[in-house]
Amino acid sequence: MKIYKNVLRSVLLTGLIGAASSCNYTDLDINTDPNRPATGSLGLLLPVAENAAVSAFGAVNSNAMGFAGLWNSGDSYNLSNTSYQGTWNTAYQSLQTIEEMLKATEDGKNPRYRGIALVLKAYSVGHYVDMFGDMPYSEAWKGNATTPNKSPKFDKDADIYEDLLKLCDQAVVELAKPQPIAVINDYMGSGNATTWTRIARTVKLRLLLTSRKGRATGNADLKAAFDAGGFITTAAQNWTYLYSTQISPERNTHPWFITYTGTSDPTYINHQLMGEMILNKDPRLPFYFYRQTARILDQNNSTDRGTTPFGGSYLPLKDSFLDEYKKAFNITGAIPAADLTYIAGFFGRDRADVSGAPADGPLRAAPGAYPAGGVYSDRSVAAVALTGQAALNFGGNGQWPLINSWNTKYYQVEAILDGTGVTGDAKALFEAAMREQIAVVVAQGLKSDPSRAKAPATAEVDAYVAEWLKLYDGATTNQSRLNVVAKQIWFCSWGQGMDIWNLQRRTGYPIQSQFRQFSVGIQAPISKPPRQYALRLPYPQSEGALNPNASKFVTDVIFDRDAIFWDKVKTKWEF
Amino acid sequence: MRNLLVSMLFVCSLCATAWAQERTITGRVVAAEDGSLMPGVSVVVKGTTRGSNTNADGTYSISVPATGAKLVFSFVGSASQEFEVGNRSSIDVKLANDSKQLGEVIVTAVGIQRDKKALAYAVSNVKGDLLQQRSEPDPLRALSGKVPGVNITSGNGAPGSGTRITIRGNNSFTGNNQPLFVVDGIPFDNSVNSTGGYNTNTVTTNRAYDIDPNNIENMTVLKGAAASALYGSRAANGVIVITTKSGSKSARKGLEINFNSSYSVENVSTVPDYQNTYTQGSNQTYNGGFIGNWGTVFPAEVDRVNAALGFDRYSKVIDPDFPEGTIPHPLVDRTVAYGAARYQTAFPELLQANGRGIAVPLVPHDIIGGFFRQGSVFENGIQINSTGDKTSLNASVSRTKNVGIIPSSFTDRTTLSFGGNATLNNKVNVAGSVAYTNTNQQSPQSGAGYYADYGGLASAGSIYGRLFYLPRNFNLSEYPFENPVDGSNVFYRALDNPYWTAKNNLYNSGVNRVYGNMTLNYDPTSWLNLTVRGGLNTYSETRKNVLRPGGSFQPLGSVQRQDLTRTEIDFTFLATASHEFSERFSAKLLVGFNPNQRNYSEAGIAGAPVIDPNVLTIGGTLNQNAYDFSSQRRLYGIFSELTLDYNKFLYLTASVRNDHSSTLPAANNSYYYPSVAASFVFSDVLNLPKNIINFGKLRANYATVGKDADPYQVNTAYNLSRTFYNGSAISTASLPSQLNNVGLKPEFTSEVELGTELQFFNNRIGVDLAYFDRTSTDLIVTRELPRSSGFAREVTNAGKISNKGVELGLTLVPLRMANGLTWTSFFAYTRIRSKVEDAGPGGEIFLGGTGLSALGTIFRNGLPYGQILGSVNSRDDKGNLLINPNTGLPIPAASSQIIGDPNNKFTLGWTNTVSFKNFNLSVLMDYKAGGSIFSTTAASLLLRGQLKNSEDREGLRVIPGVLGDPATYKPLLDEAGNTIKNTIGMSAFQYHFTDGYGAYGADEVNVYDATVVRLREVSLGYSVPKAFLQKYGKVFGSLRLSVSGRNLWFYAPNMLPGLNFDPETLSNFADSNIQGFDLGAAPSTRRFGVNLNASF
Repeated sequence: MKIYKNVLRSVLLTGLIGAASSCNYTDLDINTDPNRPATGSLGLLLPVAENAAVSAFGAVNSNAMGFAGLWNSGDSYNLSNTSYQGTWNTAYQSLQTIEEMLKATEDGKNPRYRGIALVLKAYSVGHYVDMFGDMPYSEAWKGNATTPNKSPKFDKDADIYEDLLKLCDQAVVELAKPQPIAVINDYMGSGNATTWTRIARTVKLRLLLTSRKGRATGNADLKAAFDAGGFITTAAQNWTYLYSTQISPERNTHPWFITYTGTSDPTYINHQLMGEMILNKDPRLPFYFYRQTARILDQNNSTDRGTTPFGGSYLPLKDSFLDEYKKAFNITGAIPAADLTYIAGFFGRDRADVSGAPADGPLRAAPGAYPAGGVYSDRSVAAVALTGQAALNFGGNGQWPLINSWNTKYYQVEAILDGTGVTGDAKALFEAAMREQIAVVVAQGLKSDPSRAKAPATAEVDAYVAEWLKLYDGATTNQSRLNVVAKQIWFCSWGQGMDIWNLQRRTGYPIQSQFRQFSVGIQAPISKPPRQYALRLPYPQSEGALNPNASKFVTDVIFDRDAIFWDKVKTKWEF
Repeated sequence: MRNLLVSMLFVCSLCATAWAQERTITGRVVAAEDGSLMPGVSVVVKGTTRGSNTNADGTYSISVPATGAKLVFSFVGSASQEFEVGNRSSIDVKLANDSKQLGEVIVTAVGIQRDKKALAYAVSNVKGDLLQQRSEPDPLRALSGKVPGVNITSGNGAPGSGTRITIRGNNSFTGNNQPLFVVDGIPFDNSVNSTGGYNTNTVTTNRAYDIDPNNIENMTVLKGAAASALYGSRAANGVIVITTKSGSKSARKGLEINFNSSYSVENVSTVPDYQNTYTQGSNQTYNGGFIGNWGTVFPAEVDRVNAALGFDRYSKVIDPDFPEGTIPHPLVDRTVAYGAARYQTAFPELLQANGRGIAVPLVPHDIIGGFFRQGSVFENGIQINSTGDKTSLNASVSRTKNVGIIPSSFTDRTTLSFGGNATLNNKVNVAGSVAYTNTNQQSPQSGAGYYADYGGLASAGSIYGRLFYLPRNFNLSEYPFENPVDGSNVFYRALDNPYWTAKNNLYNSGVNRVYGNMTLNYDPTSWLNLTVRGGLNTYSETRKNVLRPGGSFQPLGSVQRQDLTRTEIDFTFLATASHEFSERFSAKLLVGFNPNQRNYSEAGIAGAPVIDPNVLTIGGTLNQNAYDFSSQRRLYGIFSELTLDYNKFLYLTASVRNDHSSTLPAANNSYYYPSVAASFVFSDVLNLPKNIINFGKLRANYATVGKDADPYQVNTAYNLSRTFYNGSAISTASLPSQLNNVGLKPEFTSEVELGTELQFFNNRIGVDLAYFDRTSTDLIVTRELPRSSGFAREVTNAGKISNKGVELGLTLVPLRMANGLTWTSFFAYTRIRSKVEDAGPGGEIFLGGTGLSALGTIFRNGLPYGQILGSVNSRDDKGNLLINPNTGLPIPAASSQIIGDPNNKFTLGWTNTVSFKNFNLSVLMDYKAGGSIFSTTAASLLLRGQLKNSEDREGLRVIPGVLGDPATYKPLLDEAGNTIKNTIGMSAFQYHFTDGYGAYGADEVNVYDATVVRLREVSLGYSVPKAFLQKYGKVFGSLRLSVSGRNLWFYAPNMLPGLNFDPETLSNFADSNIQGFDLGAAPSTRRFGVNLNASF
């Protein structure tokens, strides 16, 4: 019996040891994520919020450049309700951080953070309203609110704009208040209230210019903003986003620079843009584009023929272009072979060329030093295909010009010429804008490709500017002068897609016209596009499926028929 | 502890007590079943502690008192026998299997062994030998077609690639639908642990691959909720209970050494029927830079095609500067810009003096056949068993190596295990086992090919990027693939050459896994049993993925290393009380407690650029990025089960489990799972003619099981990261795109199951039929949110899925002849109808799966589980295609629609076993009826003009349909108001290319019916007769030789003819619920093998 008792005891003991050792297995309070914090401080949110503004600038930069005929991206307007789902989704996701900042600064203890967040919101949301029009705003970003709203209503585009303008004013007020703890991680403004106040006024100016035709007090408010001043006026004040040459631990090069790695083909650049810059002897030409080839495709060879751009648009074999070229460069007789092989490097496409892409990646002209931070490519630089050329894959420290001094000058020129009541010397501003933009382009080239890039001779720039001022003077009305300026803005918009798309929708300029030297228009689509000029972006199907307030916008709003509230022109292409 | 030692010492001291010897009894013990010798049988003088064991030849010798002695012969698993010694001096004994185990004993939930006869739910038991020596190293694939209700899909033919298993359909939208694996009583993690997307790696295995089929003694599939109810919140998808040979307590006689060895060769199962008439190019013109094969006619075919046309459309001269029948070398010639820019200096021998490439013949090549090689599977194993009266030991070692058909691909797996059990003299039973497995896998970059071409996701330079549809004339196997100067990639386009990738860019995984358990068992009284079981199952995996510099995808190279560790600790405390109230009525009550903890940690480091291409290590990179994270979850359950048995023909079982999970909010983390089940063996009650019906049972049950959440889905926390501005790193925090849920609840699955088991005509016909109806509710889903809410997804309880089904296991014995010829036929039939009853607010959940926003898996109210959503062409009311009058091509409709249902209508596995004398033939065929597949292989090959069936391309084609308005999606009408038939002709190229009928057109044209019949497994074995062995090979106890084949033939009648595509393929990782897509991965394989099994 004693044995039995002992055995029983020992079994119970073993059981108890087991139970005791597994005791902490019943502690269930272990569901707090050890990998992630429950809150994010303002200093950590701020750089994400600033990235949101850059992301608003870049969201449809490529397609907007395509709409305006600068390159082969969305230039046939074949847009659908799924084309911009990613744009929309990324927008709301990235803007969430700005909202987090605004929530976290409601207590008034961090006015400068708040001011910055207000500026970033006004700038970013302004871009998205210019793309989409009506959109969730007053009820947006409330999925995690105390009373969550997971199907926000849509606000009218005009109403959102009114609020954005107020945000700019509030930002100025907040930025004037003392900030007890220094602002950190502010890569755009180094925590400087003066810088941000200037950006706030510039953003307001941009919003007022864009919306001027859609607001009852549009012209008066715009004039008041110009009169008040305090916006970006000098190159030193330019609001620019910078990339570096860093490739690891994370690639920090300009997105367009990716073609230099040989892993990605460049987007076809518009023949008219490149061709007219050749004909116009534009000093920016070797900074804008990089030539990969000097070979003229042999039309007797089937592979070459299959690789040649569509329908006689290939520049070295395009008679109308070569005739202009002869005139521009005073060539009598045959064009020298060196000139033709130089021209062969400007391998791109005409507007709305939808033919399938052959294996021509190593032939296509690529983005150059501005804004991509790539390689300078004038006549003296041999055309070398980028693929496999590690020696050319060194840069990438390009930029995005968010809002530069030339932009505010062009705003003023437009405001003056379009009769808003804003005053000033339009021609002088036009000249200054051109020179400031060229200076930024040249500086970028000298920075990213110091061994090759050469600053253009002053005479060269002067001659170019003089030709445009001559065109300006030759125009007889303010409207035709504005068209001349608009065409120059078109050349300046290499890398500023939203600005040229907005300009074209706001003014209808530059008009449709021929591809030739000193043309003041943009050429017609080369093939009949399936849809008309994009007046806005189609709403995303996904929002329509998930938000009951969105479905009618997805079905009712037609992107090539229904304009944004400030668009009174409703540009159309003619075929 | 001291008490235990004291008591053990005390017991031992008793053993040592001396006894007077009076006389000696000797004898021999043999097995009643086959007369084999039984070493290790315990022989005890009853009522004393005097004992002896039989030795290796089954003989024993024992001293007994002069009179009145009784000898007790006992052996684990055999029925004890008692003999009066009387005045005999020799007693020979035949021991038979324990009569209590005469019925089939099944290991059920929490390790409870039960007589199959008593079970009130469907359970399938698969003996290890059905999984072994079948030329199949994957334990799950070896199970395919053998169990009704179980659906198994092989991922692809790369060694170690994943296998998906589901039981009774899918119960969760976004969660895991795979069953719980329990090996030797402890949960065995079967995670995939995908650390990249399917776009970058299609070979990531599921960790059940760590189980060597050769080490499986027995596998029990607990299908329904009632069967697995005691596992509570881990039982929603069924449970697979595996007993390994080393963890087995079942007895084997004496000492036995078992050796098995298998060698199989494997080859690609099928290749498409390629066309060899047209070259690379487009519009019937050769172009050396293209991928498609819409070019000119191969010179060898020119005369034939021209003759058929009646005019000289094609010329044998391709390039005016090159001889007839030749083209300039596509790697260096100026006409192919990519190669010309890169390789002219690297390959001067390919250049002519004039700067053009050398002439190469324009002929088709066997690209696929040249790329894939013959693979092999080599398996070896030794098991050693030793069993005595109170102890048994099992040890095994095995090694399997599978060399794949893809260059550089292999897996190997080495398992060492050791187990045993002992009944101590104090009646405590101790059992335990420990196993170690090392699994290694290697593969070249193997992302799904689809993503490289259409899906918009980078594929890490996958070998499948273009392999199946390279230009017919591209001499892949003979053109150089690496630069002789620096070893960098060489190809005619900006893609990584498959050979270069296979040589340099390798993914490796190494897993070390240890699992073990220990069980203490004690009966304090005759009616009470106490059991404590504890165990651990842990593995760590190191993954390394290297991309050599010089490639196209990653020109600077990169090295990535990830370390994953998963550890599960599980205890079960069980008390079982039994009581017989009367002869007829008995009851058993079980109470248990089951705490469980699971930890996961993952750390990774990625380095780039690579400093020296010859050293692909993290240390050999310029910069590194690192990350790590970990998670922990706990679950404890208290459960009880009451079983009532009335006269061995009526059984009633009721159970309840109360689970507490750490992953749910405190308010919702305790919940109950009840179950009730009854079975009635009517053949024991009703007076049925025994020669017609031998056995009949009815079963009915109802149970609820469930599932808790994954860790950390309750509170929404911030992501820490960094951003770079102008080359400077800046710290950041931001909200994640997923909103978590503080009110999360567990998922529940309730099921009603009715079934019957019947045996007719002396067991010549056996039926095991089950009908089930299960409903899963409160599903934890990551629901899409409108992004304007600031979030992309939220975790929530939403939705309801129902699965109704029939499972039938039908055994027929058409032949059982006196001469020993037996033919047994077993049918495993499964038919499941799933329905999404409620996909939550919005009525649908789009899971995606292809990288495109309009093509992927969707759950939509009222439809079966996991439909294929994709773009369609618009049609008129009568279903005619609308054709764009400007192009002659279909008009894509405005929005995506359901274009296919990937669920099988039914599946049928048919195993035929014929045994005669010493021969045994087993043939498994299976049939998967219905189910759609979106095939990107079909799309790509059509699009690229690769297939034999697109060889007829001289004439114009007309897409059948009526003209329509692309703006309004309405048919155009003629003056009479009738639709207008499309008569616009187009070339074969236009027909298949842009917006045509291939991958660039509407998705719907790439959907096929995946019905497939397959000869899955054949095994022909010969056992060398015992008599022969005794004469010529005394060392052998048994010797068996067999040949086997796997996936020998399949026929998919409704796939694209000539594609020869095996539609059994996974669309994503084994734990993903995306199904019904072929996204382009390794093709399936076919194996032939020889096997040897010998015991000593």
